Amino acid sequence: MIGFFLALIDEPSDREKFNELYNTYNQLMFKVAMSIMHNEALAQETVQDCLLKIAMTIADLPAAGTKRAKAFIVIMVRNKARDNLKAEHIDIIEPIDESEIISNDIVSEILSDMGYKHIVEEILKLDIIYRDILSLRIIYEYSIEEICSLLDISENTAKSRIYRGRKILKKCLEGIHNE
Amino acid sequence: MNNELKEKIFDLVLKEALQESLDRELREIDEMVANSPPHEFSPQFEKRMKKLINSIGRKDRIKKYKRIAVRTVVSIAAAFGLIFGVLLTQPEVSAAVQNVIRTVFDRYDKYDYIGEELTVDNFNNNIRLGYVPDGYYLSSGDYSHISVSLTYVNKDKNEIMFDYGIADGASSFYDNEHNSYCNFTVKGIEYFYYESNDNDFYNTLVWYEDGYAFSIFAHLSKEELVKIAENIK
Repeated sequence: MIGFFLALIDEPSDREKFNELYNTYNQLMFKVAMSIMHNEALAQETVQDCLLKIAMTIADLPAAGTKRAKAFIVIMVRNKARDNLKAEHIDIIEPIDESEIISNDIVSEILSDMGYKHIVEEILKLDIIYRDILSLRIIYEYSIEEICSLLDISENTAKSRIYRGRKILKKCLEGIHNE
Repeated sequence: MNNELKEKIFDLVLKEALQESLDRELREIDEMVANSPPHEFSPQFEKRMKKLINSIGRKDRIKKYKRIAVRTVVSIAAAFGLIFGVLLTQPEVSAAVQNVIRTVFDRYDKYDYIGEELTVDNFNNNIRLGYVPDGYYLSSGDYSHISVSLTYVNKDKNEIMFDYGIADGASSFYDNEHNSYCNFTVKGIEYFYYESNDNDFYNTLVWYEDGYAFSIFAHLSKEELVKIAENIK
């Protein structure tokens, strides 16, 4: 039986898109990786791993030169750098309590100028594994599935990190209010 | 105020705060990059990037083709297959069927392959180079269920990269800006050859055989590449 085929759509833009991402961000990627790994060879390997991941998912990625692309690249590289270092971080898979109540105090705190500034500072102090996943989920609205694919983590880990990140920030706000 | 509303308020403010903290971080990273000297990536890294660029999209396109083909091909293929099968008994028709369609664009050539039907189940991932110039040895390989990519090196770190995969429905791209192109036939196999006019680019040999799309990249002569191609096992 003769195989019947359909001509695949020509997508030279994927190749050009990768070229642009690579040329625009290769130095950024290396410097971010170096800031975590402090080893040129390991940093270069991390960059290579990320570029391979980018190549495999190129069609879904934002174009080079956008803020979204830069944020995405930075998040991917530093999470990969952390993984490659095999940092001794063990994810605590907490049961997610959807019925957890936010107090009115937290709401009034977060709506105040001081409260807002505090939360920005607390976000910057968060471990990058929480900060980055919250950014991907809340700012860029990636689905859990997409986040798992980008960061090579399980669904449970992704959900747990999002939950824990939010919980830490809420506790900080409570702490600020009680001062 | 109910909890759902409080969560929404928290999320809205959190989004703004996350954006502001991310913007601040990215500014600091930009300063760090601007204030440090540029890094020179190793030649091996640059070569791997070139190879990666050449292969972009091929695996996804093969997967996409498989999905589309399964959904739509059955009834149409039966009719065409019957007619074509009869026609192929005519020697003139079988000689006219092309397995490789080359399309020339400004900066690259695109190859679309039509081949005998290979599937994941009968894909042979043990094809190797039976001949390599003295001193070369197999150093690494990347394997998937539809393609293989092998690298042979010598003590001077010169590389021969050998890629092959299921041809049917696949596409591949080759730079034509930095190369001179010619094609020729040896022992019934049509070869497409790209001779580099830039030291940063390899000479490339491309061909179709028995349902596979093959390519070899190396700083070797055309004759040597053909010899390698004739001796794959």
